[in-house]
Amino acid sequence: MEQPDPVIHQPVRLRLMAMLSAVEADAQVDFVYLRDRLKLTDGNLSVHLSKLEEAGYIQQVKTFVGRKPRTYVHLTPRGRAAFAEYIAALEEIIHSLGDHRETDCS
Amino acid sequence: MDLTPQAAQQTLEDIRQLMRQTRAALAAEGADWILMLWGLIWIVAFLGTQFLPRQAPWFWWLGVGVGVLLTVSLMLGLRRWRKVHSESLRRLSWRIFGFWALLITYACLWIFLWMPPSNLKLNLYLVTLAMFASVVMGLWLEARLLLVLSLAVTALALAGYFFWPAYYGLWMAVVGGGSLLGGGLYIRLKWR
Repeated sequence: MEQPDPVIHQPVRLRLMAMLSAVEADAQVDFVYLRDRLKLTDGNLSVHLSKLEEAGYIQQVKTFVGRKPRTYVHLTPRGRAAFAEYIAALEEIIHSLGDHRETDCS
Repeated sequence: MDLTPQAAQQTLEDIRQLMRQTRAALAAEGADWILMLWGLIWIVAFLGTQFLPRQAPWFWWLGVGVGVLLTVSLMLGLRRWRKVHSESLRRLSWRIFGFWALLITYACLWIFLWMPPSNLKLNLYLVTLAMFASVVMGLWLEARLLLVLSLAVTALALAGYFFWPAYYGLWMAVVGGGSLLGGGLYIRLKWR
């Protein structure tokens, strides 16, 4: 049975991927919003985002709103596919529980 | 890493809940302020309708004018500080704006064509039309709270019209304006 992707499975990164997957495919999410929702520090969030970026799952876009720098994060097509695979892997593990129960009963 | 089926089930539920919460929080961006604003406008205008019936049209023209102006300003201001940037979201916002602008135009046209015979009927017509539009928004955006709130206010407005017509303004200030204000406060406190 396939185990879920370890890059995504880390709790903070999993929540990050879930939040980024919840928005439209073309959407970019504000760094500050992610930090506040996940109750992380700037540094902590940056470390996890870097790991996901290294894996090719997300991309960070730095821009300016007026004179203030803003960072937006978006899921890449590869990241979206990896997250879908992660969910599929979880569902497979859950279904295996049912299969075991059926085997035990027979 | 060996994940048990129970742990996988829990993880999956957590993910789904977080995705639902994220969608709700982002969809509600600005909705809290808009609902609270219109709740306050309804409270003031309906109280005016009840206690100063001769000046009622002024309360409504002024209230709706200020409401539309503040709502548009709020939406424009929000665009700058949006938590999510997306071309599809931007297009959706314009479609929603177009829908409300068209609805207001049609509402005025229908009033002009079939002027309701009394202020009470005119009032009920506008409230139920605005709530009908909110029901459509609720279905369109899959916003259950908006759907339930709009249906509840419609039912309460009809109850006030049929059972307590003499106190309709007071009734709508409390249950209509109160529901909008409460709905906005709920979103602000729970969905952030």
